[in-house]
Amino acid sequence: MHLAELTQGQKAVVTGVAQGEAFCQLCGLGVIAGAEVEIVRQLSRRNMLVVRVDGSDMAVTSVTASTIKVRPE
Amino acid sequence: MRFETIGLIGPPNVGKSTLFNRLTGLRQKVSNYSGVTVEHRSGTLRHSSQTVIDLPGVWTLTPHSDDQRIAVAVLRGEGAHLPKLDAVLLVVDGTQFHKYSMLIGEVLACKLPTMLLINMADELQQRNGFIDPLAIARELGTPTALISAARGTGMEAISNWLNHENASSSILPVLQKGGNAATCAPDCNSLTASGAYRRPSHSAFTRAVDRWALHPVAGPILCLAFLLAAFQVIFRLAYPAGQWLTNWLGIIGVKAGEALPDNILRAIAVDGIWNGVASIVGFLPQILCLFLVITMLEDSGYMARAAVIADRTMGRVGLNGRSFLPLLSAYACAVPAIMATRAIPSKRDRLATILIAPFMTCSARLPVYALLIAAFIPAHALLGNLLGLQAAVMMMLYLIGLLAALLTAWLLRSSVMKGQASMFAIELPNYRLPRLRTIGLAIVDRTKVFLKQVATVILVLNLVIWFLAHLPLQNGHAGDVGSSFLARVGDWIQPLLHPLGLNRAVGISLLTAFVARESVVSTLSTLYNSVHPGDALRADIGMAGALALLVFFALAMQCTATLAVVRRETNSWTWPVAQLAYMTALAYAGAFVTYRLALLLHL
Repeated sequence: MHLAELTQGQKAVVTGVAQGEAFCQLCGLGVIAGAEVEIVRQLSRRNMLVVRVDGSDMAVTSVTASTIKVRPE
Repeated sequence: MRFETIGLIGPPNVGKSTLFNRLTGLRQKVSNYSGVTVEHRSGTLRHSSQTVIDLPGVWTLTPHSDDQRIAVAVLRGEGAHLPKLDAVLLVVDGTQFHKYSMLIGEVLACKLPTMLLINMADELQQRNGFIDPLAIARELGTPTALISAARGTGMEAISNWLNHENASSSILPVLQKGGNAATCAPDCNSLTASGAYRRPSHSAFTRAVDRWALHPVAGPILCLAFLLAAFQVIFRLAYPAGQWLTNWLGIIGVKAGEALPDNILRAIAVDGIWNGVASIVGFLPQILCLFLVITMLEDSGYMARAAVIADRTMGRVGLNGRSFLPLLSAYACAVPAIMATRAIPSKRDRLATILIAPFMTCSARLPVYALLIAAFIPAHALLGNLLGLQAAVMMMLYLIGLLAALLTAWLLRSSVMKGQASMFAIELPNYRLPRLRTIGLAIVDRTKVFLKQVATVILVLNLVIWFLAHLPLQNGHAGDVGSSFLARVGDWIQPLLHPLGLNRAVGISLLTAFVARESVVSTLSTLYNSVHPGDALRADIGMAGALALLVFFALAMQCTATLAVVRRETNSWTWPVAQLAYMTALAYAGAFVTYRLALLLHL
């Protein structure tokens, strides 16, 4: 399952991030294996997600979010 | 031995530049690393001769962009013409310490003497977080200090370590006993368990504000309101201030000129050099104001939200939310806007933004629009008294520029820059009051870069155009523009202008516009020998020609300063030349169609 498939308010744990353009920037935002994520809000018809990563917020497009593998809690 | 060359490394947005400014005061210089457009910032430490280099921000030592590659190469001591470091100051944000364990481990593995600086100690404490620097120093085996670059606390620990004073007893007990612990990444879980680290809580205020700032309806409205306010400041305050400054400098030039003997040298000094400088300096209030607004929005944390809101609209033409800020700045001036594209991580998006930025209606186009609209468009009222016809035409011109930019972006993304939508992920930091010091330093810094890099280029080009406009000499005096080399070029291009309904005087003024767009007005005044060239133009080119000229002006890239800055930022002549050719062709085609349509409609 990937991050873009979660629904609003759902919590999950990151299990991995696909290697690619986004990898480096995402790990800088704290999206690394083991991080706790929660969908705070879905914007513009679910194309943009506000995600809480280990307590701090970030915004990510759903295309980019689909490169993040998660395990729902 | 003291450390002579010290590198400052850390992720972006952790207060690295604030610390750099704090350490060096303003004794710093900015240049580019050879061969790449990455800024090389170095400075001298206060009260000493040690050099500090502010390396580009990195998240990991696996480099993904040009500036990150440079940072990593410097850190590893690779590359012949790069500086060699004696010591490293690694800066991280204490409020998000858990994110940086990977980077800390990688930097320590480079085996350079390293001091870990945990910045934003004040904010950490405010938000009920806690870090025990001694426990971290013990675990990593490297000196560690809690600092606040914004407030200036913890600076003495840094200078003590850099000068080997005090034997760092306050920051590193382990090494004193002779034990040199293995370098490793900090393990936040065990640090938390032992009570040495407590993550700060996310600000409830920020979440409450974000509920509105990112709201699907209220968010964009709020964003537009901010923008309108910013534009009001730029147009109502900064633009008149710039005009006033230019006029005032011009008067000084005339007064000083009267003291000089009337010969060719005076003409060069006053008209060629001084007036050129005056017109550049006239842009300064706008640029200052623009950077003031931008830095305030950035430092407060709102810019990230604006990028999120803009991403949806920009995504339709294949751009990314991060292009929003530079494109916005381009309404004031394309030069600082193109400099601001450095914040865009994707190379492709950055190039696309650079290429479309000059389409935005910059403030230098305004005087020309004002002249032509006042001379040609009747002051009819539309929609009752809500909107005048003249204002409507002005808005149309802004719209034409914007549409051309969007069309170009779409064309680029569906041809040369084809590919998947680029990734977008952005941190939503806590809101905070912008700090005066940060804003002040950013403005001083950008102003210096602007004046140094652009003024030199504009000055030289100004002189070249001035010589073209005033040679050959007549009796040892500068010639009249009407019989100069530039006028001869004007004669050559006249056949090209004829299909647009334009005459030779307009052609010559378009050539001088390359130095500064607003100089069209002054050139026309000189050529028609009248303070109000609008009247003479009305007789010469008619309504159809005027409309064609307006459209041409809205689309053409008539600005050597922009060309120079594109050349610098893309590090090649290919893009600026292609951009100039494309925009000129588009402007010509647009003007031609406008002229023909206007003739058909008997305007």
